[in-house]
Amino acid sequence: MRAYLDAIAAGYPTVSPALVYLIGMLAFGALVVFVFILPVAGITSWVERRVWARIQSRIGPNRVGPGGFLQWLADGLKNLLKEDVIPAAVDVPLFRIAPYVVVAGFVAAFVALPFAGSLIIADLNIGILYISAITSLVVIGILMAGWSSNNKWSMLGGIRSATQIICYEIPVGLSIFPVVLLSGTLSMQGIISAQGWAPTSWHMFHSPFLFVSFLLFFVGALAEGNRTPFDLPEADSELVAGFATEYSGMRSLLFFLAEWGNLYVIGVLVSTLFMGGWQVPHFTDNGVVLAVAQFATMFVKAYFWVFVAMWVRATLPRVRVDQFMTLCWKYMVPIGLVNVVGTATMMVVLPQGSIVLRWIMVAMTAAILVQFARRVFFHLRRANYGRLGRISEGAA
Amino acid sequence: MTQAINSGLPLIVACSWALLLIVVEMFSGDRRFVGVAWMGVIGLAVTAAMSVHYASVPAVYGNALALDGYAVYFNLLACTLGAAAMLLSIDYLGDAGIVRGEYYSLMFFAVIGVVIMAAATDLIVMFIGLETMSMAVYVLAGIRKSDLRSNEAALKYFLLGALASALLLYGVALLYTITGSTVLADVSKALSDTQHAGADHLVLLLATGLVLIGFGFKIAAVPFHLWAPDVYEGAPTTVTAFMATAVKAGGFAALMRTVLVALAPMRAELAPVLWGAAAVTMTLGNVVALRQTSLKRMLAYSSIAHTGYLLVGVTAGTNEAGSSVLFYLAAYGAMNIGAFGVMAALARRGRGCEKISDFSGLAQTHPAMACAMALFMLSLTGIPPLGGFVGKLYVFTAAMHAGLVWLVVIAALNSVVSAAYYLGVVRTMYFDNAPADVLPPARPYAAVVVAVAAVVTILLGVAPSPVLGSAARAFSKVLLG
Amino acid sequence: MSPLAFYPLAFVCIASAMGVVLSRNPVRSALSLVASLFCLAVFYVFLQAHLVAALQIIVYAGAVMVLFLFVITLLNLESDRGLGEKPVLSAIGFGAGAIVAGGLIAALSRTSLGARAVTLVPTFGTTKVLARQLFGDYLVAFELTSMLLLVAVVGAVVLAKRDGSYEGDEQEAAVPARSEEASH
Repeated sequence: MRAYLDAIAAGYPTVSPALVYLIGMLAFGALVVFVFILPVAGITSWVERRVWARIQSRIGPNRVGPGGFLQWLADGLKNLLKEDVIPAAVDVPLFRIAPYVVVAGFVAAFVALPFAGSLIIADLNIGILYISAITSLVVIGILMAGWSSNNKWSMLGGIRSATQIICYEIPVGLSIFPVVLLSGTLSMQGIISAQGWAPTSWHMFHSPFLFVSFLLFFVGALAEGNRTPFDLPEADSELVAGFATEYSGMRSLLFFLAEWGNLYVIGVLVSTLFMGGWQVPHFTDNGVVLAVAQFATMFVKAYFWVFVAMWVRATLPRVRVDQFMTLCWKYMVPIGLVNVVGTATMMVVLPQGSIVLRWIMVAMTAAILVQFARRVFFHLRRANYGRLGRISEGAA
Repeated sequence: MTQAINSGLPLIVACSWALLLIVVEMFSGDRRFVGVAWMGVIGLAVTAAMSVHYASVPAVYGNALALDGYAVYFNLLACTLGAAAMLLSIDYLGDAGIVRGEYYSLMFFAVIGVVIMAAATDLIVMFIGLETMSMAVYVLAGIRKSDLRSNEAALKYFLLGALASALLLYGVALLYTITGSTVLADVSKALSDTQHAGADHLVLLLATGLVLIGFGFKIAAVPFHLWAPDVYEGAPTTVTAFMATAVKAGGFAALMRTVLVALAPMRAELAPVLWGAAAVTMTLGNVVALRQTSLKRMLAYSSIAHTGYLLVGVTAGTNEAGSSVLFYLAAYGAMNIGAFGVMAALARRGRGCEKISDFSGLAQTHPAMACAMALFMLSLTGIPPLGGFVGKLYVFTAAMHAGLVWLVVIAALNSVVSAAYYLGVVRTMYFDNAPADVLPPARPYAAVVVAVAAVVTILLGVAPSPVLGSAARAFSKVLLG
Repeated sequence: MSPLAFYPLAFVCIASAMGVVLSRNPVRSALSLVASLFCLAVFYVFLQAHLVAALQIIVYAGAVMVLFLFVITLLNLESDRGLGEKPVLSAIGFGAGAIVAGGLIAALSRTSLGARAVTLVPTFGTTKVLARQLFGDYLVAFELTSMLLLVAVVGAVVLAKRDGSYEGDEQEAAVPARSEEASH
C-alpha cells in the first residue's frame, strides 16, 4: 500500500507526498468500505434472516433475486429513500451524529483486520489492542443515541449497552492475554504467523486454558456486540427497540449495519486469535493464488462463527440483567484470570508446548463435535419424519 | 538485587498485611472489630521493625525508593501514630455508629501512603504515595455515612484534594519537561545546570509554584487551609487525630524532600515564598483559633498554626532546621494524638464532646483526663519542660542561625497569642463548674493511649536527646552535598 | 508530523476541550471530552507511541468517559445549573483560568524545549520497550499504582455500600443517625 502510494507520489513531484498519502488512504478506505464492508454486512443480514427462518421452520425472504439474495439491497434502498424523522424533543446534533459514531467505530476496526497474508490495511504492532480500543468507541455512539433520543426506553437501552460493553471488555481482554502471551506480539499478522494451518498448531488447542479462553472470547464478543442471548439493550419486549427506538430510515439502518458488520469482525477475531487465521498449506508459489486461498480460508473460518452466532441467536433465550452480570463478574472474570496465570505457568513449565496435549485437545474437540452432529441429525430425522422432507434434506 | 528487595520489603509486607486485614475483616464476626484493630497495630509494628532492620539502603529501583534514615524516621513516626489512632478507635467506632471493618485497613493504607511519601526519591512515586494516603483518608473522613457533617467533610476534602493533586501533578509534569527526569537528585542536578538559562525560568517558577500549592494543601498551609476546619470537625474524632498528625507528617516528609533536595537550586526564589507562607499560616491559624467554641475546630486552626511553625524550619532549610522539624513533628504528633484521644475517650453517642464547654469542670469529674488534657494544651502552647516547648525551641534556634530573625519574632509572638486559647481550655476544665449531666467514664483503650501520649510528651520535653539525635542522623544524609 | 495533519487535529482538540468547559449541558461536555481525548490519542500515534495511544482510547475514551456518561445520563443531570447562577464566581473562575493559561502560554512559548534535538531509537514506543520500562525502571511506581487503585476501590465500596448490609447492625447503625440528626 505504502509502496504503491510512494510510486504515485514520485510520479507527481509537484504535489506534496503527504497529500498523496492522505487522498490515497482515504480513497482506499472508501473502497474497502463500499466493496467489502457494506456488502458483507448487508449479505449477513440476508443470511441471518434465512438461517433463522430455517431454524424456525419458515422460509424467510426469498423474493428479491435468486433465493432472496438481493433482499439486502432492496432494504438498503428503501431505507435510504425513507423520510429521516427527527423527533421534536431530541438533542438534534447528538441525535444526528450518534449512528455515524457507531458505524465509524466498527469500520475503523477493519484497518487492522487481516484478510490474507499480504492483505491487511495496516499491520499495526498493537493490532489487537487497537481493535479492542477502537470498537469501544461504539459504546459512546450508543450512549449518545440513547440519551439524545429523550425517551426512557432509548436511554435504558443505551445504559444497558454501555454496562454490557464495559463489563464484558474485561473477560474479553483477559481471554486475549493468553494468546498474546503465546504469540509474543500484539500484531494481528504476528499472532497468525505464530500458528500454522493445521488444527494442532492453532492457539485454541495449545492447552485447556487456551480452549477456555476461546470460549470466553466468543461469549464475551457476543455480549459486546449486543447479540442474543445478550441483546438486552434492544430487548424488544421490554424496551421497544432500545437505543434505536426513535430512529428511522437510514440512521436506524446504520445501527443494524454496524451490528451485522460487527459479527464479521468477531468472526475474523476468533479465527485470527485462536484458529490460525488465513494460514493455508504452502501448496503453490504463485502469490496471487496463495493470497486468494488465504482470503478464502479466512472468510470461511470467519463466516463459520458468524453462522454460529446466528444459530445461537435463533436458539437461546435472552438472559436477565442480573444473570448477565453474574455471568460476567462471578464466572468469566475469575476464569479469565485463572487462564492468564495458567497459560503463563504452562509456558514456564513447557516452553515449547506439548504436541501430545495438542493432539488430545484436537481429538477431544473432534469427538465432541461428531457426537453433537450425530445428535442433531438424529433429532432432525425424528422430528421431520414423514413431513417437510425438504427441510430435513436441507439441514442434512 | 538483594538490597533492592530488602529496601522494598517493609513496604511489601505492609501492603500484604493491609490486604490481609481486608480479608480478615470480611470474616470477622465481632462487630467491634477488636481483633482487626489489634492485627492492624501488630502489622504496623512489624512494618516499623522491618524498616529499622533493613535501614540505610540508598535509593533503589531506578532511584525511586530509598530506605534511608529519613524514610525510617518517618516510617516509625507514621506507624506509631497510626497504631495510636487505631487503638483509640477500638472503643470509639461502635459507639459512633461506624460499623465498617474496612476502617482499619483504610487507616493501614493511609499509613502506607505516608511511608511511601517519606521513602520516595522520585516525584511520581511520591505522588502515588500522596494519593494512596489521601484516598484512604477521604473515605475515612466520610465513613460515618449517617452523619451529614461527615459527608460534607469527605466531599470537601475530596474535591479540594483532587484539585490539589491535579495541580501537583501538573507541576511535576512541567518539571519533567525542563529537567527530563522525575528523580529528585536528577531534577536537582538538571536545575542547577539550566537554572540561569533564562528561557526555562518562567516554566520553572510555574512548576515550582504548582508543586508547592499541591503540598501546601496537604499540610493545610494558608491560603490552602480552608478545608481543614470543616474536615477536622466533620470527620470522626479518631480520624481527625490521624489526619492532624500522621497525614501532616507525610505532607512534610514529601515537602521537605522535594523542596530541600529537588528544588535546592531554587532556594533563592523559594525562600521569600516559604517565609511569607510560614508567617501568614501561623498568624492566621492562631488568630482565628481564638474565636472558636468547638474544640475540634480550635485544634484544626491550631494545627494550621503549627504548620506555620514547621514551615519556619523548612524555610531555614539547614541541616539543623531539618532535624528540628523532624523532632517537632514527633512532639506535635504525641500531644495532638493525646488531645484528640481525650475527646475520643469521653465522647458518647449523640454527645460528641466537641465543644470546649463540654469540658467544663472536667477536673472534678475526670481528674486524670483533665490533667492529661491540660498537659497537652500546655505543650501545644510551648511551655517548658514539655515536648512542644523543646520542639519550638529547636526550630526557632535553627531559624535564628539561618538568619530568619524576623520570622522567629513573628513565631514567638504567635506562641504568646496561642497561649490565650490553649489556656482557655485549661481554665474551662479547672475553674468552671461541671454540668449536671456528668460525662461518662473514659474508655479503657483510649485512656491508655492518652496516658502513653502524655508520658511521651513529658519525655520529649525532659529528655529530648535520643529522638533529637535520631532526627539529626535521619536528616544528615538527605541534603545533597 | 505533517502540518497538514497537525493543524486540523490541534484545532479539533482545542475546540473540543473548550467545549468541555463552555458547554452548559453535562452530556455534551462529557462527549467533548471524549473527542478531545481521542484527538490526544491521535497525537500519540503521530509521536510513534502507538501503545500509549491505544491505551489512551481504551482507558479514557472507552472506559472512564463511558462511566462518566453513564452516571450523567442515569442521573439525568439538569443542565445550566451551578456556577452560572453566580456571575461573580464564574468571573473569578474565568479570571483564574485566564491567568494560569496566560502564564502557561508565556512560559512554554519561551522554553528551550523546541531547540533540543530528540533522537528516537527505532524501537521507540513499541510494546516491548514500553514493557521493559514499565516493569524495569518504573516497577515501583507501577506496582504502587495498583495498590492505589485497590485503595480507591475499597474506599468506593465502603462509601457506596449501605450501612444496613451487616445483618443485625441495622438498628445499631440507625440509632446514632437519628440522635445526631436531632442534635442539629
